[in-house]
Amino acid sequence: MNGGLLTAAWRNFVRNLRRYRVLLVALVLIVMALTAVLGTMLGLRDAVRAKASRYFAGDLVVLGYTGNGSSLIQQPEEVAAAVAALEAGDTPIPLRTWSRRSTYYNLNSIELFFAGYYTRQRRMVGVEWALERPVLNDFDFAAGGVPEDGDESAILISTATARDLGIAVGDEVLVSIQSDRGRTNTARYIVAGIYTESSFFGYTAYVHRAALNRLREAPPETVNEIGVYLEDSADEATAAASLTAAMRAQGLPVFGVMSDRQAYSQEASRGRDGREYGVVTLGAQLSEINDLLGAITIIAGAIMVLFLGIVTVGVSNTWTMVVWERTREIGTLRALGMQRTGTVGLFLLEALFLGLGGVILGGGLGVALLAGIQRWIRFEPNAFTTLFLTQGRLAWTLPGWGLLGIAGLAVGASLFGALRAAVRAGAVNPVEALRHEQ
Amino acid sequence: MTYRDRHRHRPTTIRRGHRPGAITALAILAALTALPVPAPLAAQSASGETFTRAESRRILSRADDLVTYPGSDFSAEYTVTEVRPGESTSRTSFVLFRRDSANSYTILIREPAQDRGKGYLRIDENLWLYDPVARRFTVVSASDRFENTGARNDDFNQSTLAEDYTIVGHTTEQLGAYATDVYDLEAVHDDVTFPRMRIWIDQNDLVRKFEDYSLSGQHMRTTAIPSYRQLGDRYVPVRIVIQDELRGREVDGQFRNQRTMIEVDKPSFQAVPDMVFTRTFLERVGD
Repeated sequence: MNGGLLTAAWRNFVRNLRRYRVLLVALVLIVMALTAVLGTMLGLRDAVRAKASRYFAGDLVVLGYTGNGSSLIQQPEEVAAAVAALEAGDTPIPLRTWSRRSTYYNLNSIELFFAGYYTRQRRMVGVEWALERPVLNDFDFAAGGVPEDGDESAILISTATARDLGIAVGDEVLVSIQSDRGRTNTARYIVAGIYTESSFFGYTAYVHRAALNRLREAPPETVNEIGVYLEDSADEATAAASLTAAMRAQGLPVFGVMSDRQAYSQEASRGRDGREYGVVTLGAQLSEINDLLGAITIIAGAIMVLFLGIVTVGVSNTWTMVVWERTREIGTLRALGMQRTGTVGLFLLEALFLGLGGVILGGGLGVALLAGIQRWIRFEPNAFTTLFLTQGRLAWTLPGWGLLGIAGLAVGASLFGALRAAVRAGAVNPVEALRHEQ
Repeated sequence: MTYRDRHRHRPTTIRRGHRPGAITALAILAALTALPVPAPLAAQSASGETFTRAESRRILSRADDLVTYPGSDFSAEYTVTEVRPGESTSRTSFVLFRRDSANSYTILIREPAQDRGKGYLRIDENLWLYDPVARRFTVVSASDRFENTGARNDDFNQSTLAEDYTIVGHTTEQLGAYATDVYDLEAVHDDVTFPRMRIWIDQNDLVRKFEDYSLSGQHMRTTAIPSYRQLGDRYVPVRIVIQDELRGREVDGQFRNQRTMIEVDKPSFQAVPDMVFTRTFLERVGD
């Protein structure tokens, strides 16, 4: 391909733009829709992942089972050493931070009281403020923030909980649970922060690990989960494999990685001779949500591909028409020495310009649409929006591979549509072409 | 006068014909809120007395025995009225069949209409809730709230204070017209809803009031039993008022606690067929 061919193709494309405008508009709309759908879906997925990783203690979580369904880490120092080894190995895996949590699940037993008002929580989490501060700071705090490092009197609650109780930062909330021994126990905490969340992840209260262990009547150093927050969550599978290997190197009995929900529930209840450790990935914890988002993406993608098919047919028809109309021009170019491949290239380049035009304009409009939605539209809280959005807004994401994929699809459709007509143009006999009458 | 001095002369049988419930019901109800706040639960007994496990058992057994019916079945109609200040008042009525000899009870809900046919079945330590819509039994805990009221599922079982608690403190107190012994109790095992209690027992060994505390000493609820009905040598608490110490609303500038009133009607010690204490019974009646 030489510069002359490129210039000629561009000149022809601009000259015939009126003819291509319907196709161009269609391509722009499809690329815009693809960009918006992909950016939205990836944004929803990332928002859920961020919330879920805080909720589940990390992108990877080490659990220790004996078969009774509940996890306990009996050798937290060895597990912590295995976590540290992730960053120190031959192929280091960068960590954001890690967590060492005490957890309490009982939907019927966790009650919070304030001035006669009460609400229930799905679970209570005992964290170490110092250790998880980088992640907890990502909470969208409506008021207050993460407590001082050793503060055992503080509690973080969600906006949903605060609304139920009519409570504010600085107020004292009474928490009642049934302890691990089954006894009703209570403790008072000062509300240090109220994070914006009213979805599935919102009915969780965070206190210091030592404070929760006291409330639970559990030994002070009890650790139920050790989690790892990765810098790049795409490394999840590799990191999980490395972590299990590091735990084995520490001499811990390890049963492996739980990479789906079924394995997770099976391993929790499988009878064992002694305590064994495993790693569950965030992907496994979110498999249902990921499946839902994946299904929506596939359906939306299929509709877009259908539209792309229609565009391909449109391009094909248009180019067939163009080639027929420009037969004399083809003949002249061939008579002046242009090769068959050059003729084919000329028409394909015009289709390439059409595709690229659609990608640039459609991509730009798609990004502008996403940015506009994020900036100007705040969705009312409901079951869907609170789960998938951040502060009621769409936190869209569009990585490079996404943009390249959309560009490839649009340009590919355009080139494929033009291919048959371009090949036919290359096959035109110059003599007959010069005698061609329209 | 110490506990032992006063109880040395206490008659071992209930004074027949005495109808304490009818006398000072209002006084006890008033005592729910009007009594001075008791000393912290963990405080030393005012008389400095200490109680062995055997003494605790003997004292608490007397209170248990009056309201436990191991020799016969028991049935009655219950009406539970839940008063939520500033909100609605709800009413639940049900029939209770109890067989203390088997540590069993069956509850069949009649009102509200949408819950008609729901039932509870307790057999020893197992408790199930039957949902006639889903036609399914689910395991529930004895310490769970009964139908979202201030009562707990365990409140409808026989009294087992002597088995569950030991006395760690004792004082005396005038509760309305009743001279009462006030005992601080601590659970001896973990299978109770509240690990600490304070109970007021009158001169006839009837529990007139009790307060439930969490392990850390938080006052959770207060229960008053102003009325008992005597049937032969047994007593049936026919009016129970439970005050939730944590739930309530400010109404007209005053904090009002959530209350649960339980009225017991038509108590009977007639024998109940065995099949009443089966899951099949709840399924058939629920359908």
